[in-house]
Amino acid sequence: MTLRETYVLIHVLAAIVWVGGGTLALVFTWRTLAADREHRLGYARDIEVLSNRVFAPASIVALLFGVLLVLEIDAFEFSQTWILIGIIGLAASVVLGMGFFGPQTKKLVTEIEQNDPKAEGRLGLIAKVSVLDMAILYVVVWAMVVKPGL
Amino acid sequence: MFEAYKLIHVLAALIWVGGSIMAQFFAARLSSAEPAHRLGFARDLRFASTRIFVPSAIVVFLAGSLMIEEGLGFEYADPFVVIGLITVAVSLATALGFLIPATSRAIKLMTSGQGPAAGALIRKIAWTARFVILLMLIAVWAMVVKP
Repeated sequence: MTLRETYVLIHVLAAIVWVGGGTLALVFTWRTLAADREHRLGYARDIEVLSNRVFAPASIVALLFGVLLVLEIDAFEFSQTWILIGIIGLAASVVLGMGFFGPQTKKLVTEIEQNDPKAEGRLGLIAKVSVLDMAILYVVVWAMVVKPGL
Repeated sequence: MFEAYKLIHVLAALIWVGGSIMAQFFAARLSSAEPAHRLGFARDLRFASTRIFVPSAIVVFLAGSLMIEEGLGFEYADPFVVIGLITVAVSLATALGFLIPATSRAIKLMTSGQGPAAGALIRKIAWTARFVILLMLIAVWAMVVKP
């Protein structure tokens, strides 16, 4: 395997975990809206832990190895449209993850534990913002495949 | 058309492989979970398997075949294509023949209060799923490196 192929493989594997895992989490979040309290609490705790231990590292690895690929391949430039879409999309998703999903999930866990009725609305909000997050990531995948501007 | 087929192929593969890996991370946390959460997760997993993973695997196969039919130099005999075809076939056979029916059995065992039996079956399901994920990762390597 060449260095370029190694970078591509790591970039793709991280994207698989991030985008594919995010899609599964989105489906599970919507299903949790109709779940009983115990399953809802268990899921909220799971997603809080997995966001920090799986999604955040996967997003950083995808971004890092994407940058390394641009530096490695002469035909790729940071000014190209598809790479700009990728960087902006990944950055937006990382900001959403750290600025919204992290704190909101933490509050959700506390509210469910305390039987606070606000948990219902917060879970619904998280589910809706998850759709936006995944839409951003799907646009990034489109840009990576079609490569507009290359 | 090739780009459209490739986009569909890649998106379906991301959802299929990434979702399967993520399901393992969720499952790994179940050992210390409440019984109600285990049952809820098993139901969610059965839903994801039947409505997301199996259809995604079929879409990966169909869009991949259409890419080959476009005639841009890819052949069914190419090693990376063979690895991909074997992975789709084995994964679908395992999911339809064991993983999904076994998950349904585990749900029945849990709802009838047979927790230990359900736990043993879930461990079998998890190990089988890990084998399938290993195949998927080999297929991803093959798609990237194209040996």
